[in-house]
Formats: sequence, structure tokens, C-alpha cells
Amino acid sequence: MMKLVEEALYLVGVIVVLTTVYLVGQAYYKPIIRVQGIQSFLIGGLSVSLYFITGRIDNLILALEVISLRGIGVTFTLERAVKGRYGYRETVRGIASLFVADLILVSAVIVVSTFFQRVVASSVMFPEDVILAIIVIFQGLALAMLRKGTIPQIIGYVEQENGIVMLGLFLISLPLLIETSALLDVLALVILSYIIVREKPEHDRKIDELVG
Amino acid sequence: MDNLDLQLIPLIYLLFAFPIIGGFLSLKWKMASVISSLADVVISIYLLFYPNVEGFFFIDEISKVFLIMNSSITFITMLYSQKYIRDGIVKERWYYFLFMLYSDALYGVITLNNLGLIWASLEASTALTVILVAYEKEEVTMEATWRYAVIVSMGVSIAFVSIILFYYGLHTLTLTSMIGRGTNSPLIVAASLLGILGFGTKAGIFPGYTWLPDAHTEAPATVSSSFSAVLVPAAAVVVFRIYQIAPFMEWYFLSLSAFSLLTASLMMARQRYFKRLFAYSTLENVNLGLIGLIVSQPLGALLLFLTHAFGKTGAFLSSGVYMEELGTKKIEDVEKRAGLSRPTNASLFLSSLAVTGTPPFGTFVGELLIFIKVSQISLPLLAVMLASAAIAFVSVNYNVTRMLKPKEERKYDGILGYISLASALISLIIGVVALEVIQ
Repeated sequence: MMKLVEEALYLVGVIVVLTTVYLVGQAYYKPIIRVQGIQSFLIGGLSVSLYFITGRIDNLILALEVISLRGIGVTFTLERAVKGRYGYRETVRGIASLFVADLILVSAVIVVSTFFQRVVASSVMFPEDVILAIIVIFQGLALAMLRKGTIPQIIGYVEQENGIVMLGLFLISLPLLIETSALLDVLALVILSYIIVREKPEHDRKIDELVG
Repeated sequence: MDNLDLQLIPLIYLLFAFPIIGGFLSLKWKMASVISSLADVVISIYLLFYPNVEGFFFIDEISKVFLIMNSSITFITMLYSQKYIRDGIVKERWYYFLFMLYSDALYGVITLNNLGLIWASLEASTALTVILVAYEKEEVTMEATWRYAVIVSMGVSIAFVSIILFYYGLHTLTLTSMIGRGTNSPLIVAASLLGILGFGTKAGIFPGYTWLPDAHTEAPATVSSSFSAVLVPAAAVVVFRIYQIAPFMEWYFLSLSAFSLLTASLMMARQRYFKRLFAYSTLENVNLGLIGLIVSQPLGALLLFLTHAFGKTGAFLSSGVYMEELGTKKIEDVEKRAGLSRPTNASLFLSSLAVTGTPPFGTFVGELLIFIKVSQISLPLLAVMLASAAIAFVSVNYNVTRMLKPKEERKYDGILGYISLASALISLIIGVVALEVIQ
């Protein structure tokens, strides 16, 4: 039975990683926002599963927080920011090249995180999920660095935070107060970003005053 | 709980309560921010004479000095804001509200005894200041704000990974239980490296410090001064706490700090905007202070942090008057145009001397003590520090002298120049007193 649960959790973790790859290769804002929502729901689901396995009520509360604050709160805020416009996308070229670069990055991160898991966190219950969590963290960083639009950069940040929640779930659960503070801080930053999305949707122009 | 705790704990809670009350009241009456921050100045000076606290809060000598820095700089900037701030991206009253809550978050960073809650306070300080940095709502301001929000948030997220690893390794996040417990294992090494990278983003440590010059240049002068005087040094203290957990990693911390110091100084040599120049000077001073703490010269480091705080506040607040009156941030433009009144010029001059460690300012005494200590540990490190301090001294003072060249004096009767001058003078007074005491 435990083997089955382990494999189910691993499968969900792999789906989370697939969503991160999709996000790097998607230029349209609406799908990006929604897939981020799905990703947050999946991580909430992982937390619920851990509640059933470990019986820790903290996991259930964390799941509710992730789903409500990230899955619903962040998605709703960002959808408002793009005002539900269809076809609204980032003016980015070479998205296929970015996608390929990202796959190379993922391969490299798999090697590094496997090494990390064996050396640093060898005695955890779900070692594969720790590796997947590290991939999600790096994918968040990659998304924010590779793209110039405000929305993908916010999503990159949220994705990085999702990876951190996942790492916490499978490595060691932090006290709930700290997890909650982190979730609220992220939500606050996303709501503030809403203002910047309206004022400045992209960040590619060189501004003399900010050089050097 | 003994009698001392019964006296102290309510005082600490009051320290947190006043900015919140002041913030809410200033939505209706903006002077409330000045009064509440003044009340905090009184409490923080009072706390200086009490023994250290260890429990939910962790208040040692470092925290006590930082409490004084945070309360005093908030008081000075709130006083200055009364005449300086007008409606921006949000109504003026929200500026005071957010500023007071941000100062409260900084109290959390300085006094809490839980690394996770310190992280949450530091992240909250970012969320609370996004609107403050974007206050002027120009295109360049929005770009700088965005860089600030994204780089700092992502950096501080890396710090959160470090917290998870520390918790996994040490099974506690209580700072006083963690200090000195980090063993030389791959887990603690990874946690410490991620900690210095993550918290270092906010503390002005390479490679995450790129947000700092942008945010300082574009934020209102009051926000820039609080960032330089308190926020960045407070984050540097968090980096120092990480070092205290794993002291065997001394050379990683020293090398990264020295590299940040050197690169910041080199960048100063080619600056064309005066606020940007002062921002790089903050990087230089904060990294010097951090090295001071790491090499066990707390007196020098704290003197440097304290006097730099007042000196840099003087520099940014006088920059604010320059921008207000001359409508430019460019050094070259100020050089060509008419000068300002004597208090503003004197403030800029004195504060530039203060932030570059000129005798007899407190920064000089602090830097001297740190240099003496480093000379006993590593001569190459001392050489890097001396070279960086020399480049910074020449860069700042050369450019400020250009700005102050004798020109026709413009009539400016405002009080803002006097407030910034007072801040610069405090830095001088601390230096003179410190020299007397040390002698």
C-alpha cells in the first residue's frame, strides 16, 4: 500500500514539474496564469495526501492555505491584471529556443538535485519528491530570468515559492506560523505587482538612469 | 519570569505597538507618525541600559544599537516627510501608514529570536515598501520598483530554502539555540551558503545587490535614507546571525563580503547620478560593517553602522532638497546650475565626509578599529578593504565637491536642509565622543 502511495505522490510531483516546463514555453498570459493555479492546486493536493499519511493537521491547514491563497487568490489577482483579454501575450521571440534551453537546464538540475538529495537529505520518506521540489524551485528562477514580461516574472516567483512549499512538505515541515507568514507575504507581493502590471507590462528597455 | 522581564517585555511590545498606532492615526493626522516614532526613540534608548533579553525576543548589544538606529532614522525621516511628501502613486496618508508598518517589520528583523519569523519580517518589509519605492510613479520608477520587488523576493526565497535546511539539520529555528551549533556537514554548508546568498540579496552582498542602486535612485529621499540607514544593515545582521550558526564558514562570508565591497567601490567611480553614488556607498559601508562583525570587532562595526546611518540619512535627505529645487538627479546638472542654501550644502558636504570615513566622524573610528583587527587576521583582506575605502572616498568626495562648487546661491528657506544637516551632525558628534571614550 505504501509503495502505491509513494508512486502516486511521485506521479503528482512529476505533473507539477511538467507544468513548470509548460510555463517556460508559453507566451500567452491567460494559460500561464491558469496553469500556475493548477500547479498550486496540485501542491495543495500533495499536502492533503501527506495529512492522510502522517496524520499531521498542519499539512491539512497548509493545503487549504496554498489552495486558497495561491490557487485562487493569486490566480484571481493576476487574471484581473490582464483583464481577461484573449490573445494577450508577451512580445517575446525565440520561445522554442527558450524551451530547449529550459530542458537542458532541467537535465542539469536533475543531476545536481539527485546528488544533493543523496548527500544532504538521504533519510527522508519520499526522496524522489525532494528532487522534484528542487527542480520546481530552479524552474521558477529560470522562468523569471528568461522572460521579460511582468506576468511570467511574477509566476516565476510564485512557482519558486511553490517549490519551496513542496520541499518543506517532503523534507521537513516548518512550524505552521512560518509557513502562513510566507504565504501571506507572497500574496501581498502579488497583489502589489498588480499595480506594476498595469503600469509597466514588460521590462526590456534600457533606461539610462538605471545603468551601471 | 523575573522582575526585569516583567519590566522589559511590555516595553518591547510597546516598541512594536507605537508604529502600528502611529500608522493608523497618520491616516487622519500625519504628525502622529512623528510622535509615535519619537516615543520609540525614547524606548530604544531606555532599552540600551537594560541587560540582554533572550526568549521570544533576542536583544543583544547589536539589536540595541539597531533599535536606536531604526527609531531615530524613522523619526528624522517622518519629520522631513511632513514638508517633503505629497500625493504620489497613493494618497499621502498611505505613505505614512506604510512607512510606519515597514519600520515595525524592521523591529521584527532586529529583535525576534526565530529565524523563520525574522525571514517573514524581512519579506514583509519588502511587501510594505514596494509602494513606497514606486511612490513617484514615473516609468523609470516603476522599472526600479519592479527590479526591487522581483530580485529581493526571489533572493529572500532562497533564504527560505536555507531556513528549511537549517531546520532539517538542527530541528529548531530559535536563533539562540542555533548559534554555534552548526557542524561542518554538507547540510549545514549548503544551508549557510544559501543563507548568505538569500539574505545577502537584501544585505547588499554580491551577486544579489543589483536592486539596491536602482531602488535607492528612484525612491523618495526619505525611503532611500531608511533603506540605506536601517534596512540593508539590518539584513546584514541577519547574515551575521547565519555566520554565528556556522562560524567554521568564516572565509566564505569574508570573501563574499570583501568582493561585494570591492565591486561596489569600483562601480562608484563611474556614477553620474548622486543618489546612485550614495547607494553604492551604502554597499561599501554595510559590507565593511559586516566584515567587522565577522572578525569579532563588534564595537567598530556598530560604530560604523550607527554613524553611517545618520551620515547617509543626511546625504539622502539633502539629495532630496537638491532634487526638489533643481529637478535633477545628475551630478553634472547640479554642477552647472545654481547652488542651494548653506544648510543644504553644508549637510551634503558633511554627510559625504561622514559616509566616506573621514576623521573625526564616527565612521572613521569604526573603520579604523575594523582595519586594525583585520590587519591581525589577513593582510590581503586588509588590502582589499583599504583599496575599496580609498576608491569610495575619492569617488564620493570628488563628485560632491563638483556639486558644491561656488555658484550663485539660490534662496531656499525651507526647513528640510536643517533636518538633513542635523542628521549629518549627529554622525560627527558620535565620532568625537567615540574618539574621546576610546582615548
